[in-house]
Amino acid sequence: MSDSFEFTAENQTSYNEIITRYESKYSALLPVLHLAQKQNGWISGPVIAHISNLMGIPGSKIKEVVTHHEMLYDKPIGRNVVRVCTSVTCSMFGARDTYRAILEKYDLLDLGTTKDGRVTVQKVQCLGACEMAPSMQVNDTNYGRLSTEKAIQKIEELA
Amino acid sequence: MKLTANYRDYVLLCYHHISGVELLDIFEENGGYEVFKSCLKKNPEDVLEEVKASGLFGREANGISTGEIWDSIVEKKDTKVCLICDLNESEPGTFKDRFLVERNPHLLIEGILIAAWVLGIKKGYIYIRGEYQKQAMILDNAIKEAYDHNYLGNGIQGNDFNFDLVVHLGAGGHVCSYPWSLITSLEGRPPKPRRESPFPYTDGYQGELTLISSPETLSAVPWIMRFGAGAYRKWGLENSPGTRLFSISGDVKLTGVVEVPLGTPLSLIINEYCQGIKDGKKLKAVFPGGISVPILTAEDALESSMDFDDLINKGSMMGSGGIIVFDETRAAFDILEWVLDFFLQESCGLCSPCRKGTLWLKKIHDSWKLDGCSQSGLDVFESIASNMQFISRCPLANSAALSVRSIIRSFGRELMDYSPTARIDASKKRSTNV
Repeated sequence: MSDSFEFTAENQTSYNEIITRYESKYSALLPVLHLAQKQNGWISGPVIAHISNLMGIPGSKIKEVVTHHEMLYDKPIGRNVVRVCTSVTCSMFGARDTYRAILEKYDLLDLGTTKDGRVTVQKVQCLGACEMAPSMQVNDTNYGRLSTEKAIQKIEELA
Repeated sequence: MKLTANYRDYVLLCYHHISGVELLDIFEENGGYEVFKSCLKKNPEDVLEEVKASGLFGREANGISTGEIWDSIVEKKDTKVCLICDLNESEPGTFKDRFLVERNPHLLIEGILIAAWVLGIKKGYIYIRGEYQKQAMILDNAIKEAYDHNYLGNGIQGNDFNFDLVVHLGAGGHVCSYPWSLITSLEGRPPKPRRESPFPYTDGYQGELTLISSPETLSAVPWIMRFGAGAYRKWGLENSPGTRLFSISGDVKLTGVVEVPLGTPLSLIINEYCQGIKDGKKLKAVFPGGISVPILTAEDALESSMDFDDLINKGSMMGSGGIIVFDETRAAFDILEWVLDFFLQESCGLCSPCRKGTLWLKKIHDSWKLDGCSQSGLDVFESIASNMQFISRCPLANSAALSVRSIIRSFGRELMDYSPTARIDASKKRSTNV
């Protein structure tokens, strides 16, 4: 694990642009954290330190925001994030069985990562794709009407 | 005025059949932004009067008249106002706003522009939930196009009107659907409800007067300004004019989003638009507005109309517009478990009635899995749920209590039958018969 973090030149340009969108630096925090997570995979201590220096926001405030959002990760995650919806409509069509089968197959707990660092599995409440329940989000793409076999097949296909 | 869009059949989905309408050129070709440009030539007061006359009201749960809210903002002259479009729909069963903007982001931008121009707003935010990353990108692209074509930015369309619009991607959390949590999240703080105050929020985002509006409300404004309040009032009822989007999921043959006039019978939506219950089964229950509203039994659901008053008379509410349909094979015990899981996971933990209440209810339900459910168990459950109501800062605990109490009320007998001993008895009976 790297003990330092800096935005790449391209992301630094994005950062500079994000800051101009908001009147308050605090409001820009969430989009900046998204940008950092996209580059680093998760919000590590060095990421928080760097953002704290850049934005002049105390690290503790940044950590507080990170831990209150389920889509910001304060521990290392896999290259792909699989979010399995276990909300009402998806549960009606077997989402919970699928979720349990996925954990069992890869020997994981919730928010656990496979040993090869390929996939992190997360249980979520409602992805807003109820019309195609049961649904699952792989990174930013939704898949629907998934049987357990199809869900596992999708995960197997991930690089 | 171009009439290529399907204006006469729909208000909100009038452009949805047009391929590529997410692109500004195609939206313009079909009459998009024409209404905004014509509004710029009118007196802002006239536009406000038209919106008031249309009877449009917020499609958020509060259902307050949009015209009245706008009026109260106009009255506070020289006050800095901020507009937030709440696209954080995270209520289970609700995906209508996603459907609205992913296909036609410019209609929302046009609605926001008209509101901003009438109310003298200079800055707007579209708060979109973290799970909608793709839709956020679609909106981002649409906003870039709008800047390029001088619909956003400074000196819009040669007028003395400046307006900036930003898409703000959230990072998960149902509490952000509630106005105060949404504001604190937008301020870069943990999304916890600050306090409740009268609408509109006089001390809202960054201490400014803040208008929070749903995409559905804002997207209806261009149609109203194109055809007038009278035409809009032809849809729906006297007290609930206009149309509304409903997203339908669960045990129906056809799931998806429909736009219907308010007051449309729920039975028509389920049996006609959704082609009825799957596999010829019977209806058991319906959540008419997401799981935060009381559940309707089949009898009540089939007699209900989708308008504020009728649903309240039936003991439920219109809520988020997410209709979840359950057929006769669904067990109330499971429905209760799924609902409890949702509220337990989504409670932000700030207020103890919510933090502890949702946990206790879940623990009681878990104990029923082993020991079965008795009348006294139901009474304790009911008592905890009723104590969670009206004492937390945001409506989450209240919603949880309303929802689970309605399940207990409607299906208490079934919950008591759904016990391990009953199941063992049933299996014994089957084996003696053999």
